[in-house]
Amino acid sequence: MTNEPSTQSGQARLTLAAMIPASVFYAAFFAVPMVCLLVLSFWTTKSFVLIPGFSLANYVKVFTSPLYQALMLRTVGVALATTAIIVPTAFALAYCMRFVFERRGQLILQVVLLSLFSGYLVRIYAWRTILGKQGLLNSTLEWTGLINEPLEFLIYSNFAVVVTLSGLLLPLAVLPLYSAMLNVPRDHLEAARDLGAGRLHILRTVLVPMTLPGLRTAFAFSFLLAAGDFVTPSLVGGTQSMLIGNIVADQFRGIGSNWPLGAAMAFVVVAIMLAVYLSTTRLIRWVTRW
Amino acid sequence: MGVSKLFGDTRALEHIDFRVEDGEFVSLLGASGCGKSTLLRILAGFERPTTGTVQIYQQDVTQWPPEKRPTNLVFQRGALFPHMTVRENIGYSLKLRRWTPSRIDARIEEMLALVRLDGLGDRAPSQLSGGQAQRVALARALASEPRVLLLDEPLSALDLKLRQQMQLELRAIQKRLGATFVFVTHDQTEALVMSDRIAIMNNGRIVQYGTPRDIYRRPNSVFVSDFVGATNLLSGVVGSIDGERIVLQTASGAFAAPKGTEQLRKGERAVLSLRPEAVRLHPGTGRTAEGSSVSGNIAEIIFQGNCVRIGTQILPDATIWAELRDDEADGLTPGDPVTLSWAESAAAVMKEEPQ
Repeated sequence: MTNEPSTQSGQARLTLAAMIPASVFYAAFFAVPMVCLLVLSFWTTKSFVLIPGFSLANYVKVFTSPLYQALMLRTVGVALATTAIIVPTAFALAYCMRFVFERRGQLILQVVLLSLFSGYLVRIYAWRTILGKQGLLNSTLEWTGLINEPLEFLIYSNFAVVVTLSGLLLPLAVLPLYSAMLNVPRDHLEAARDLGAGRLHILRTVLVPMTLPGLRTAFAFSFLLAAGDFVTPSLVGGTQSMLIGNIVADQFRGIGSNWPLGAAMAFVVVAIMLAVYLSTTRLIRWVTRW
Repeated sequence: MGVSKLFGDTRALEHIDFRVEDGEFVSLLGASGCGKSTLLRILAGFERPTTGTVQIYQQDVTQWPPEKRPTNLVFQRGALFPHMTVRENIGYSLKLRRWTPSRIDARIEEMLALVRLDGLGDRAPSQLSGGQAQRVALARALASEPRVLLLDEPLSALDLKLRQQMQLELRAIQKRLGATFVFVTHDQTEALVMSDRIAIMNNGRIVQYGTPRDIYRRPNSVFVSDFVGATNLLSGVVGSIDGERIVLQTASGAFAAPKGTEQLRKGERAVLSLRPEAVRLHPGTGRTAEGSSVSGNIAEIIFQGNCVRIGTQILPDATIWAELRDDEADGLTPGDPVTLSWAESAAAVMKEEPQ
């Protein structure tokens, strides 16, 4: 080490100082509310009045109620389906932007970003006009004579929820994947090819491992955001496509609300989603081992 | 082995036709943009020639993709897989070829010993120095015993001392394996030091292909003599040609030189090329016994450590540089009248190139 100790500690001090604003913000607006919510999840209610205490009743209810179990399963299913559409699509798009379009990839990035500016609700409604009974898709199909009456499953169904969520969250997955791809030099792909690897091998042993951080972020964005969404199911979902997010949201508003139960549900959801996320990233690592 | 190729992509490469013998170390030497890397990528299979063929051991591989070719490429910046250890990098091609684990391990050890990195097998590429990383890249490319190893300026990112050491090492490894190497470089010293033969490239063509000695001593064009090593150029008109001797009339006198391979006619404009180290310098203006001579005044003296370069003005617009040992230059100062002389055989006459 040739650095003088004084400059080193000076640098460390500077780094710490730079971290203060973010730390304060996180502590005030994330950590404190989360702790409050955690405490709240052990409270109970009686005729809409909160009773402080330490009770596991809420958690027991979440785990034993068949309704909640079914919702939880459906949520994981919908989120996984959404992710299964988004991540490969975004990966392929990011790959093309980086290695096929090269410089013009930046232009595509602008378009992708532009779609984010158009607003969350607007985009959900846009999907409604596409998937609706008299929507773009159905009328086109009817016009071409491929179908005689509108396809029912297109709207107010799990299908509609998955498709809409995929459309909404795709740009968020493209961003981290594109930035990860930018860090992969073309040389490395060519080196693998030169050494005898076919396309699938290059993908599995070089491209995926080298973009793993981006893949993880893309997976987290699409899976966790899809699992937590409750606006999309209520706008394009049917009676059978309510997600756990809808129930959690219901516990915090209007008649029949139950904050402690909602808090307990929220923590269970977080735990389950984290478990799924961690095991999936493990799985990716296992598949791409060399 | 024979790589022969005819080629007609006017933008990058034109009519390249060359052959590399089995076990030969051939360098493609040229300035950036001369097409040397494109040619290497054609050999590797990453680019397809517009016309012409690539043959390796009498087999036409023009349409073969890189992963099927018996060639491996060492990249300029190594291109080691960052998520794999040194060992895994070297064994990559072997595992793809489904070698048994014990055979792979043995081969990896052999390769590590070859590039003198024993014991570093479990390191990550990020823990290696530049020189070590290039050794691993070399080992990785050699592990599957390619018939031809292609190297794309693999030493250009290293500092001078390390580069010189690696040049000798690379040459030694090539000799020991008896492998065929095609090495791309823009560094003429590197090419001279390492190669059995050098192909000098300019504007997408191979302008001269020969042994380092041949190219240095008998450059066939002004471009080659200027590009490889330093040289003095004097232009003039061909005066007479008799047998093996050619005389050039220049503004500072008539100079003779051995007849080169190039066809020159009497009266044609031509250039005399003379290496600075072949020029001798004598104080005063007296004639000397040696072949050709010319006198002038010293214009510049440049000390270079191992030698001294002295520029002598022989005409208002012509300076001839001579390279002397430091002690030989003692007592010389700018303005001194001197006589320069050189052996006839040290000069070469070649066609003047339109600029």
